[in-house]
Amino acid sequence: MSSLLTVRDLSVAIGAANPVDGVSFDIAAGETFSLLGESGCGKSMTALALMRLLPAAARTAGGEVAFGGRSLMALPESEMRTLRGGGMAMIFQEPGTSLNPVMTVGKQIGEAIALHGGKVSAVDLLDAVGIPDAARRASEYPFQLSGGMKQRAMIAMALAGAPELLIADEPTTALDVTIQAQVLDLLRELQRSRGMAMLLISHDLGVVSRMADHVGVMYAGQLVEVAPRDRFFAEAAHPYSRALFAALPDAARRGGELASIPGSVPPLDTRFTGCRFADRCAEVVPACREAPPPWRELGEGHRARCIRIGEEKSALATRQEKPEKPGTDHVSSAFAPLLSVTDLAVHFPIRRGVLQRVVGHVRAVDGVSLELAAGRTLALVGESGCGKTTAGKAILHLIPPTAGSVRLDGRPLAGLAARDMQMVFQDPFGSLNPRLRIGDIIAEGMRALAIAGNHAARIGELLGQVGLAAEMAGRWPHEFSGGQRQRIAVARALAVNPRLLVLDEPTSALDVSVQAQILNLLRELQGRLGLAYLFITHNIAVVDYLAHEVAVMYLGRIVERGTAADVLRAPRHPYTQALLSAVPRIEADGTERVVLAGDMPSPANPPSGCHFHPRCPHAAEACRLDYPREVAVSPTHRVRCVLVAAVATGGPD
Amino acid sequence: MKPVLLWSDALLFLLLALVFAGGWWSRRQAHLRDAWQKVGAGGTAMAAATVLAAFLVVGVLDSVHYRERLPDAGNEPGKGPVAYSNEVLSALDALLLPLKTRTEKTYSAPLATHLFAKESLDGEGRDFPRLKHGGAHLGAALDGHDGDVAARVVIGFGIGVALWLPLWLFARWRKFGGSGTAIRAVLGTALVLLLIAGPVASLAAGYHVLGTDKVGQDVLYLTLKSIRTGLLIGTLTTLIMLPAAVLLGILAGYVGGWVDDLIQYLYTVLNSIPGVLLIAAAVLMMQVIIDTHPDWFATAAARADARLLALCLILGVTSWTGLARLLRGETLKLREMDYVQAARAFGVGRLAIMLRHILPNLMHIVLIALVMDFSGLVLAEAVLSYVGIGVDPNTISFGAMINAARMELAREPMVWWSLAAAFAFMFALVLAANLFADAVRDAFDPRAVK
Repeated sequence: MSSLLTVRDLSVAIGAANPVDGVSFDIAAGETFSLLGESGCGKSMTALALMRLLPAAARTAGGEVAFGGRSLMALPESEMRTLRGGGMAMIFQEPGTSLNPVMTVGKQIGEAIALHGGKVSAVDLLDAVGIPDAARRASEYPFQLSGGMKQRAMIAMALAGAPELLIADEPTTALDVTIQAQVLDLLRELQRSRGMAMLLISHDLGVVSRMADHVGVMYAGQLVEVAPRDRFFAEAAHPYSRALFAALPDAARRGGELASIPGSVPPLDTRFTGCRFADRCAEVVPACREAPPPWRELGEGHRARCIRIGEEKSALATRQEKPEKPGTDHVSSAFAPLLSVTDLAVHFPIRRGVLQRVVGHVRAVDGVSLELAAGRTLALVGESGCGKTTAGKAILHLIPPTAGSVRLDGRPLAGLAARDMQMVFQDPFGSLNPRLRIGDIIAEGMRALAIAGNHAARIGELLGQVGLAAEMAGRWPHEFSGGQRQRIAVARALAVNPRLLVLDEPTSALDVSVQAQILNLLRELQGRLGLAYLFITHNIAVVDYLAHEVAVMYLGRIVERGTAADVLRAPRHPYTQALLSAVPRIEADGTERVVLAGDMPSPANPPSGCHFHPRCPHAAEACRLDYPREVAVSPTHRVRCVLVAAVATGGPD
Repeated sequence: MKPVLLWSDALLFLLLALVFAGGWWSRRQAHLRDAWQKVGAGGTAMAAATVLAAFLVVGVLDSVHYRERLPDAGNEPGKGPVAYSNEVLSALDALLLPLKTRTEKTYSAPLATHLFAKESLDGEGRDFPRLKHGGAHLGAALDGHDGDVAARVVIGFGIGVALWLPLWLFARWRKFGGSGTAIRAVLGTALVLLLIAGPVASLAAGYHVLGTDKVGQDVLYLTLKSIRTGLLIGTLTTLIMLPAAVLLGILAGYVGGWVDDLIQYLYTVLNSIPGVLLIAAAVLMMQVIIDTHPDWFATAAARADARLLALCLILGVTSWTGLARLLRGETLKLREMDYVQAARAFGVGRLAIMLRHILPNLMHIVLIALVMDFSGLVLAEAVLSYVGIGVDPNTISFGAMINAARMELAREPMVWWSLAAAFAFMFALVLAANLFADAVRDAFDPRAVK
């Protein structure tokens, strides 16, 4: 097998730091090689070095890159330019910023075609990437396209030069799961039909499992393991790879502790003497810290950089499989709910014209009802734009609700209930004021609510509770990593002894290993303090691990709710089914996947009848007429779908 | 001698005190200290800062005012009322007393020994009359002029180096620059400044280095006196504008709704009035008030000072809009930050959020705007005085000098030195301010490439 791209000992230097340090791999024509790793491991930097598009501060410090037999490092810039796009093309993570907003999509693709002397037209390419009504879309501007379509347009642009190698840097990370499924299918299909090789950069084991032929795991600038896909997912050898698997939340690990990797990825300028993973490794021995581990060949192209391979089996593997505690899932409705939300609605007026008349409403949240008991977790699941975050904020009264009621302990809330309900936000970097010390940040709530007691002692106690040291109260936010900041945000919320936490995607900005730390912390705090969680997320695996009950939202309304087992194991609503099947999973389960067409409609102008019917594979005439009523399929499981209603009543409506 | 504290002096010293207090406070703030260290490490920035410091020294010296005690007229010493001169002098005047008092009849070129224009001399036809002071020490030996100038320049260099050496030794001894401060740039600039100042000082003892103006005043003296006016306009205006800009900008951005509308209308309206007209109207009104109340002011200096302050005030009123708009935009962004949302979830009051969460995160913009505005305001003073609506005619300023130069340039042969002197000093001041502002912006702007 001759390789299309050969990388040998590639190193990138930024000042004295080496974000990429001696990386070697091969990609054969028509094959997908996947670089896997957490953020800050040098994956993107590797891709940019291949294209010779490194940022100004960085430079290639050594190594050899050969593409189709030609050495890229020695090529003059003019030839490199024809190679970019022509020989190898790249698509980026953020489709929103990769397109020029003042040029039509067709023109931008046409530019790329003209540059490489192609014969195809922009419309053909848009057609090839599955954009419906390509001729019309080609004359539109990027802002008129949805995120998924922009990424398709980016792929079309990358295809303009008929490249032999496509470098895809986290191509679906910014997209929703249902759209991610579409784009991944498209990439697969294009790769097959054009015989392209692909370098896929991802942090998502599910995506890698679905797409890759070969997998390379990167850690702190080095490849630590390279293996064919099947071998990698069957028997990953490096402790880091195995820890990544163990850190993944899912139903099997419910009730137990996730294996988290302590600490976080070392900063770029760290000087290493031994194995780079030694400080976080559960199986470390003194020899690990003495010299860099050499590659170990494990046969069939599988190799790993670890001196302990074959010595003994992981301690990690034994720690995870604790059985689910029986009974914990079925105690809910016996208690009076702590929080009960009825017909909550948030409508934002759309104003137009000189007089700013209200011409319509964005129905961000449109009649949401849910209940949550103390000590339980309710997951509010949905894609971006479905109104789940707005619903969470409206429950706290951070956004005034337009209609509906929120009751706490049966008493209706008229405003903030700061002592009882608190929120943890998604972005750990935006949620702490950079100009305040950690102690002041945590004390803010206690001060605002005039909570008596020794604040300094309480801050120390809270920091201890979230796994940080009490001395850290005097430090500034910028001294902490993302995971530590999220712990601080949790401590801040806990400072006022709330009974309910609204967690708005608390782990989606974090790496898998750090996500596991935070999920463990949340689970432990719930057990200890009896907190109720309203967990807002799009990550089904996290829901499966943590939630007792699940509510699925689509376009401002809850389409299905019930216990986690009800909704995730036996979904009844077609949207829930599609959402669950779109999630890339590591174990290929062989079941038929439901891929949804199109995008979520705008909440300013929702479709008539059932909001989901334009995308629903089972849509019938009745779906266009009225929004379906809520139907109880079991005491704990409610669905809003005409089809389900028909089954439940046993006859035609 | 009786010290006099003009209003502008008081405000300038207040401002300096604030700057020093702020500097002392920011030493304990990690992020501020880091940013300032970054400024300190830049060679250009520190060279510019040195030039600015030199200007500041002149300005501060010129802000220490006093009134001379008049010699007792006929009374026994210690008896009778003590009389003070009507004229308010400054420490700078005291230093430059020879320059101030040795006035000629009219124009003379730099380093000249004779007047610039021919006059009829008593019975000896028309010729260039000899200057009263310029080159007077030469007596009749005018041939020695060039040699004398050269000798004074050499002595001047000697003085410059002699003054610089202790500075250098002090820097070596205290090991400044160990923390990455670009001390070499500071010392280099100081050397250049002293090498210019030395010869100028030594020449000024015998000549008019930059010539004399229409009424025979030394131009070097005028330019040095102009520095205070420029500095005051540049700094006091920002002091006046800052509270309005910060308060209204944050209010508009954070509170929103009708408050936002009101503030936006206010600054849109202010921006729509031609600035020069507004300033002209205000200055003329001030003029009328000053003229109708002569009893408010003890001296002419106090009256000129009031007019200078009025100019600062009106410039401040017209120039807060830009910064307010900038702060409003940034506040709109900050109020959606999660930490503000988190504070709201605790029920923290609006005022507390604005003070604790919004304001500290805006300070870098305020600082950058202040430093950037300074040079613009110095130039604005020159333009306004040129059109005649600037400072009091008695106040010496760059603008007034340039205004006078309008007529001088039309003469044949041309009188160029007033304009050239004003231009050179103003150019140095504004360039130094701009270079320093760039460095401050680079160090404090979080969006700048690190």
